[in-house]
Amino acid sequence: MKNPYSDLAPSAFWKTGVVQTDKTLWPDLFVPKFAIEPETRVATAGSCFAQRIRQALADQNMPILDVEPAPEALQEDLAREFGYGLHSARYGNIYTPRQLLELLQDVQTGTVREELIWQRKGRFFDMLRPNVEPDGCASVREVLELRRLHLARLRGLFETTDVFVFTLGLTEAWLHGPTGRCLPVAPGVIAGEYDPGTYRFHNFSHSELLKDLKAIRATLRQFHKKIKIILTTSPVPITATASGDHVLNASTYTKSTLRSVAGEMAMRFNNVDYFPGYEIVTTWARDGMAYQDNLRSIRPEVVADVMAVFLDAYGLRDTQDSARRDAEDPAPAEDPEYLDGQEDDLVCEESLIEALQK
Amino acid sequence: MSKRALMIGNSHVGAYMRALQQSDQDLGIDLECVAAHGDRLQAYTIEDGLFCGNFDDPDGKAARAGRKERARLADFDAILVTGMRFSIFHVTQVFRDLGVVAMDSARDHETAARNGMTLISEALLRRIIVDRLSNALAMDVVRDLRQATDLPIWVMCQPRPTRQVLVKGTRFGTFCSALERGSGAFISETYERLAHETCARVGAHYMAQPPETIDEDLFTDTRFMVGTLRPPFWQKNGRKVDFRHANARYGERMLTHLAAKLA
Repeated sequence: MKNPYSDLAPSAFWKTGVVQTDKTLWPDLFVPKFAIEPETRVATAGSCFAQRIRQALADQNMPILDVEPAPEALQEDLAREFGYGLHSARYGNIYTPRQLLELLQDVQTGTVREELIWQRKGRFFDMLRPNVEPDGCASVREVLELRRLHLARLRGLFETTDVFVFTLGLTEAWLHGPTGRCLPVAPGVIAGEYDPGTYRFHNFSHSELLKDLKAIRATLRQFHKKIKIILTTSPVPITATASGDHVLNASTYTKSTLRSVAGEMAMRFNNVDYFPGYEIVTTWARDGMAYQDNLRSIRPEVVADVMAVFLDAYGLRDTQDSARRDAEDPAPAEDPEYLDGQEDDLVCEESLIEALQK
Repeated sequence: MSKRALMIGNSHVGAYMRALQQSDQDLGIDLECVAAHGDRLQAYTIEDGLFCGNFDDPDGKAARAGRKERARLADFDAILVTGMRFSIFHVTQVFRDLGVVAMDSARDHETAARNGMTLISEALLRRIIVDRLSNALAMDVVRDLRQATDLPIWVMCQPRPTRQVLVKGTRFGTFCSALERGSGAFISETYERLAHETCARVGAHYMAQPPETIDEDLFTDTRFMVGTLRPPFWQKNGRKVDFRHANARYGERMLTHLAAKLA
């Protein structure tokens, strides 16, 4: 007797798709809607985890766009500290769709606002990317001019990007009351001071996120008609919640809502795809722990597995090179120092909240 | 009574040694010198209070020039360090591609771009320059000396070059573009300020180039270089010229300032 499931591929069934499958390569888990060729111009943005995606692509010699490359005179560590080489521009981590949408609108209009500056010990910080100048700026004028430069470079980025990879990180955000702008980090964490009259907490709903992502897609298409978007959801749990809920509940809300809205975008639009990195990390079907001892940071070998699935799906992985690297790099995951070092590898404002916990 | 100082450095020690040889007046300082050309002092060691240059001197050239290969730190009242890549040259290079809003040539990002520069923050500029200065061989020596002795350590400013760096054949593009952009005063002030800061971080004092020896911020007045001839030098109109090493007159000014500080 025939039923709607009888002719489906093994990947459609839990037993063959999950229980019995290769849980490293995850065959057919990700079947891309569109190709990424070696010459495709890819840009990345998003939460801390987006830095991993960028690095994996860069390691395969993909032409990852970077419109604000580190000056030649900069050593690598200093460059990272000042937000160079983490994403395709110095926008820092973009945790929410609203943050990205507002950035795109700023690029379109060239808007730079003096109200969006924090102070700390006589130094001035761009509220919309405070972490890219860890020592702050010398003056308001300097903040504004560096932002104008940033926006000018971003116009070039969005006009030339073929594939934009955006990693969704958070639903919770802090909004600046007078301007309504969505901030990447709570006031008082890097600079500024929390004043309930000036800042308000907001936890984005599915419908708000969907609306923002649709607007992002439309805006990106105004820059480049043929742009394609790959959405991913960061598998890194949230550091803290201001929602009043337990952090486990809050994290589950955040990640499931982001996953859901990304899926809906991919279902609705041909030029939007979803990469299931979140699923690869968080599935209980995997052999061994995906997370490090803090239950937040993802083990490096798991990150490598995730990125291998991504690269393999596009036929981009240089497996010979990877095998050679693996051979030269003996079991890094078993070395506790190596694991400790991984946390510092990413530049993550969100983790600062934990550091400031009383 | 004269102070006894140990001078450690490279070819830039010449100005000081000659000043002591040629000066008519008592400069109030006696110098002993451990020096080797370029970076050849990089194999130096400090053990049991003995600074050892560990450089080759197969033909005895250094010895004939009065330079020693080793010196006991306790025999001196102060230690002077000069040259060894702690100089405005390495700072000027940074400004070839980078500018900050405090410079007229980079007052906004469009002006900076027109002048071939990328706008960065003053904070980042400071970190880049401090990094560069801190990585100079001179600073390695100072850091190790600081561990070995409580004596005052003075980093004696390597002189700016003469305007010869603007001339074809001996041209330094970084100085030319700095002059064209009108950035000389900013670069000079930045260098002096960060040189002080970098030295202070490692427990040393910085002796700035005397203002009267400076020509339009970025250069040394030719009067304080004429007569020197230390490699590397260039030919100009069939004559060898040296535009990077100061002469005895410069050394005398610097030592006079130093003596006042040590008194």
